[in-house]
Amino acid sequence: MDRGFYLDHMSTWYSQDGKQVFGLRYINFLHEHLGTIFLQGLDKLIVYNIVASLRRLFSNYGHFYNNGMATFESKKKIEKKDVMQFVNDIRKLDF
Amino acid sequence: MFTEGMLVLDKVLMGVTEIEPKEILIDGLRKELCKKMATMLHNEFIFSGKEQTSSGIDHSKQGAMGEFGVYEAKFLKLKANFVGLKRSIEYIQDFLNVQGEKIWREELSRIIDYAVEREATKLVNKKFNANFDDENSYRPEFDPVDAQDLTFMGRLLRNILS
Repeated sequence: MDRGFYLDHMSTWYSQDGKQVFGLRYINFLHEHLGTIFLQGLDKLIVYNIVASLRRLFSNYGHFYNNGMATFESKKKIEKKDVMQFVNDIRKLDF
Repeated sequence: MFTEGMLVLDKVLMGVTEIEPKEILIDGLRKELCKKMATMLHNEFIFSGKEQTSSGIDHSKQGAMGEFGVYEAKFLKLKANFVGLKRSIEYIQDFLNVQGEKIWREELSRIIDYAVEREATKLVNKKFNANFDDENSYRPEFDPVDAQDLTFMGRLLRNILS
């Protein structure tokens, strides 16, 4: 990934230049200040974000990763600017 | 005085409707608490990117909080406000014979759930189903600060992900 990496032993995400970005320490900080209820809400929101991203990916999966097996109408829909942007972002990731 | 006032409160009959003054008081307390907390959360979670740390710690160093330490002062202020509010409601609960801690917990989870539901409606076209049908409760609705997010939860998450 071009943005950062995760160290399992530290339970933390680091940026490309080695700075801590997000992890146990920040979660602890949030927990201390805003409590469990807030963390629950944040967790739910992250899950909704993941679901939204997955839906976007799979709604266009057939067209981009299955040699264009899609109907004419769906192709038209897919070639919108924001969808293309998302697909290009995904292609950059090295699975 | 508080306690004496609560003890003399009695059920009142207004025609055929029976009114319980204690319930009206609790409703009012909930409403005001919800309004205060929602306003605090809304105002504090605005990330402009020009924050300064209160402790002067260089958060870019190893072992420090990284980018997030920059918002330390914001969180500390929010915590101080929240602790103050919580203490006051715990203090009056014995005098008024109401469950302060319970009210506090319920209102906070309602505000957060409401914010999450609003964000979820935008993200996954989920049917909006917040627990705010009751006419008596305060709806924590604010104008969005930026174009991307509707509530403070969205802003915080965007800040974490960026």
